Amino acid sequence: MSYNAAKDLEYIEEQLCFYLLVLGLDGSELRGYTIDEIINKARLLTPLPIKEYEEKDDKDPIYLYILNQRVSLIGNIRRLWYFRQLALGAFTYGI
Amino acid sequence: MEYEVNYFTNLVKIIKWDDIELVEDSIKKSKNINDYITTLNIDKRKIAVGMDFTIWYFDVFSEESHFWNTNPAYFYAAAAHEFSFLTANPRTSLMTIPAFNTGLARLMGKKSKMTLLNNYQLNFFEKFIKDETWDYETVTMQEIESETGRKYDFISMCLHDVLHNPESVIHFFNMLNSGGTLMMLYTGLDNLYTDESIYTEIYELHQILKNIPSSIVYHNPTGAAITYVIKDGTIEL
Repeated sequence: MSYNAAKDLEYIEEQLCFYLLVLGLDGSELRGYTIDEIINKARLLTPLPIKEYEEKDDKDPIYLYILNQRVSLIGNIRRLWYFRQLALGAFTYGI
Repeated sequence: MEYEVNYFTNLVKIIKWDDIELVEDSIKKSKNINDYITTLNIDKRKIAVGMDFTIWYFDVFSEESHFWNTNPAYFYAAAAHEFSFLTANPRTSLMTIPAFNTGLARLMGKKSKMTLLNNYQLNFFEKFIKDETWDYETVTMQEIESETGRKYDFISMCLHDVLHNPESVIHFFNMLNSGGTLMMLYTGLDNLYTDESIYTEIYELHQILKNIPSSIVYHNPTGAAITYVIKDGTIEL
C-alpha cells in the first residue's frame, strides 16, 4: 500500500479540530480559518508579559507554566497546519 | 563549537557501523525534498511555522555547510539508533520517519519485516528515496490508534508523531509485542534538563510512558536525544 493522502489528511484535520475547540473556535469550520486567525486566538488564550519576564533570572513558576502551555499550544497547531498543507499538496500531485 | 567538532571527530574513529546514510546522500535527498516542498507554496511565515524542527528539517539538511552536515556528531547519533535496532534483533518493525532517518529505515527493511506509517514522511520516501529493492507494508495513524493489525518487536518513531496528543503514545506502546522496544527519536529539548522541564509536554510524555505498568523507560540525552521504552513481558496486566 502506498501513501494515502486522504487518510493522512483525515487524521491531521481531526487533531486540528480538537485544537480549534480548545481555542473556542468552530472545529467544523477548519477550512474557513487562516493560520493567522488561529495563532492569534491561541496567543490571546495565553497572554504573557514575555519581554518583562525574560530579563529576570528567577522566573515565577506560574509564568513558566503558562509560557510552556503557550509554546506547546502554538507549536502543535503550527506543526499540524504544516502537515495539513503537505497532505493537501500531495493531492495536487495526484496522490 | 570547535571543541565539539574535535570531540566527535575523534569519537567516530573508534566506532564501526552497518548502514548509516552518507552525508552526501542525505544532502542530495534533502535538496530534492526541499525543492518539492517549495512547489507546494507552503506558508513559511513566522506566524505560520515558528522555529519548529520538523518544518525546517530539509532546509537545514540541504545546506552543505550547515553544522549538522559538517559535524561527525551526525554519525555518532545515527550509530546510537542503529545499535538499538541491532541489539533488539526484531523480526517485525514499524518505522515512522524514513525520510529523516533513511539509513536506519534501510537497515530495518533489510533485517526485519518493516511497516511504514502513513504520513508525510512516507510520501517523501516514496517520491524521492525508495527503489525496487525496498519491501514494506504501511499502517495508518487511525489503525495505530485503534490498535488493530500487526504488532511489532521494534518501533522507531519520532517525538512529533505524538506531541500534539501525548496520550497517543500509549497506542504505539500497545502495538509492541511482549519484550519489544520502542525507540523515540528527537526527544531532547534545551529546557528538558532544567527545573522548568516539569511544565513541558515532553516531560508529560515521559510520565505517561513511565506510568504504563509494563514499561521500562530510558533516556539518552546525546545528539537530539533518544527515549527507549521496553515492554516488559514478565509483568502480568
